[in-house]
Amino acid sequence: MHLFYYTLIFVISVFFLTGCLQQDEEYHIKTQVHLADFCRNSQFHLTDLRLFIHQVALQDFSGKWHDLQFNPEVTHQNRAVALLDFRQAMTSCEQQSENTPAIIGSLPKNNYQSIRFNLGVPFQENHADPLLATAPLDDTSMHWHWNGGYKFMRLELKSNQKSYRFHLGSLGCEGEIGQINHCRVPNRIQVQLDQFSPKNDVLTIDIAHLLKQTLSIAPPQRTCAEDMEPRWCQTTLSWLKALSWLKTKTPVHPALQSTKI
Amino acid sequence: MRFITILLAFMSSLFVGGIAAYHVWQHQSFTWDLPKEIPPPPVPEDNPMHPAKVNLGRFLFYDTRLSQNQQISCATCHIQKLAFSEPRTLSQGLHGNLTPRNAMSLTNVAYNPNFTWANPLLTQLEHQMLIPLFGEEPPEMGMAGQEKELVERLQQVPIYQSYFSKAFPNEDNPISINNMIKAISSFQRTLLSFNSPYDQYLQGEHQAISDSAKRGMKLFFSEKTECFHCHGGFNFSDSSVHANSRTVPSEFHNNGLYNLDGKGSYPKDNRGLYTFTLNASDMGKFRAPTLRNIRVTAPYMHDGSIATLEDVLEHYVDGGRTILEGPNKGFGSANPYKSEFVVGLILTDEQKSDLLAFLDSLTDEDFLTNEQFTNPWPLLQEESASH
Repeated sequence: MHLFYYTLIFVISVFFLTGCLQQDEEYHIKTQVHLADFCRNSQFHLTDLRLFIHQVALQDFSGKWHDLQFNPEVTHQNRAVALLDFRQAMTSCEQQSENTPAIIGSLPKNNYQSIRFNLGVPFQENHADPLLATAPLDDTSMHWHWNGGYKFMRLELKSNQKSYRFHLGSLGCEGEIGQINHCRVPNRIQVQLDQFSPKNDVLTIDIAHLLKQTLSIAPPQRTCAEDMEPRWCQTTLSWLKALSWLKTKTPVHPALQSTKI
Repeated sequence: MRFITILLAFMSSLFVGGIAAYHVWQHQSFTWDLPKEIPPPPVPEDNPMHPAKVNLGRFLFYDTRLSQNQQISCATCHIQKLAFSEPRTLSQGLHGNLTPRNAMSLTNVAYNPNFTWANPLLTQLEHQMLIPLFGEEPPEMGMAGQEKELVERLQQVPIYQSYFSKAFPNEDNPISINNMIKAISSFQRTLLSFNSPYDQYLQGEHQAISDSAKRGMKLFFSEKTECFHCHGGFNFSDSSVHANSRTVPSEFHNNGLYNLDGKGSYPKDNRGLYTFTLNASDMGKFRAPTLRNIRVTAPYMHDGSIATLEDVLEHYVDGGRTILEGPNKGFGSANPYKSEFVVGLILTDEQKSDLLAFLDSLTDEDFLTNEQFTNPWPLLQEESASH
């Protein structure tokens, strides 16, 4: 019986000690889409912008990276992946950060200088049985099982005459749905932004800049689903990789006080 | 103490009751309607066959609520009298938009090692169904992003409340997308066709097929025509999986329909296996479909580009297709990725008509008219009207 009490005391103290050591706190990393210039000047308007991100990590001032532990209780996230849906934010040309999803997760209490994340769904979740998917992977408009996984990103544009779609996901996958071994073209993109404070900065996708670059090339009539070969698909991908992410200071202002990274 | 005992007794009686109910469900067992020499098809472990599921699946297969505009059902493109195929060259999505391909027959679909014309990733009917329901490139039934609305629609149909409960007992919310898909798959696995004149001939009814068909059969299985290499086995297809089979590798073939650039290219939307593997040598490779009921599944090929069975035979006589004009012009017979078995044939007119007579003997009239597979909704209305 003594042994039982000793064990209990030990377990309780370990629990408290680890609690003290970690001092995790919850962060709400705000996101938004920068539309303004594009919205005012283009014949196109954006009809859809949704993307999955995973493996979000923040770097402290000693240079050490800390993984953000996603809060799985909110419907747009599970432990592995977060779905960022910007459709509500695109109703006006101005910034509407209150209508954009936040990335919610816990980190050790600290000061941070940089953020990095992957655009896409992690391999394991991307290729799990879609019939058993739970939120946010149960949204069938992000399913792409013709190719064996999910759409990592859907970006759709319309003008009076034309409509274009950029759907990004893994291609060239081998195996069968539920048991994919490997994809020749994974199409996951790692992004890093320096001088980013998770408390004060807003993670911003600079769609205006991205589309200014890519729409000058004629987009293909069909999506980038079959291969990434068309120049528009390649260009969009490369702009996404590096040059279309901004940090902006809160409070967000329509004039966009931004720092180009 | 007494309270706890009563509570425990109550809970265990519920538990036993639940088990008993499940036991009854399990013992309304499903039996395959198959000739004894045909092995049953494989069934996923998490979706065992059950009569209640098959019945529910039949209602869902014919239900237009499954499309966004409630205009089309599975049966719109898979028509029973045409062996669950359709006469259109290319199938239409819900907005009248054309898909790139011709709807495949569902004859003996349960034995396919993979689904659609060339997708190696789709090896279960349950997964294949996600494409027509939720696919967007192009939309077919157009339900992408509307899975919640679909469940709500189904919940509002009174018979589904009881049919889903019967098919999926002991579930709190049996009306779900996953269960809908399981039920439709179960129905599709019952679409079995093994009672053609050819089958009757194999059973010893020597007069079931004509002398011409018998000569055609010999030709079909000869090295002269090579037909059986790609259309072999009990299902006259590439490869079949059944309950006792090992995993069967999927096979795909280029039969020389196109050769756009002299290097083997196929039209952009229809590159076959290449789309998935991105290997150049997989250009234009498609699945060889079953030849059972082939006479009624016109037009032919993945893109419906050959109108009649006679023309299909001529295609193989020529060893590939020559297109002289237009965007698809090229010498298909010189496609570098063409199957080694498509080399051209020398056949007399009589031999051609014998081969066609043999193919005709694979038409199973019982399958095309089987009342187990017809649209059940009008019957339901008649039944309720008569009460």
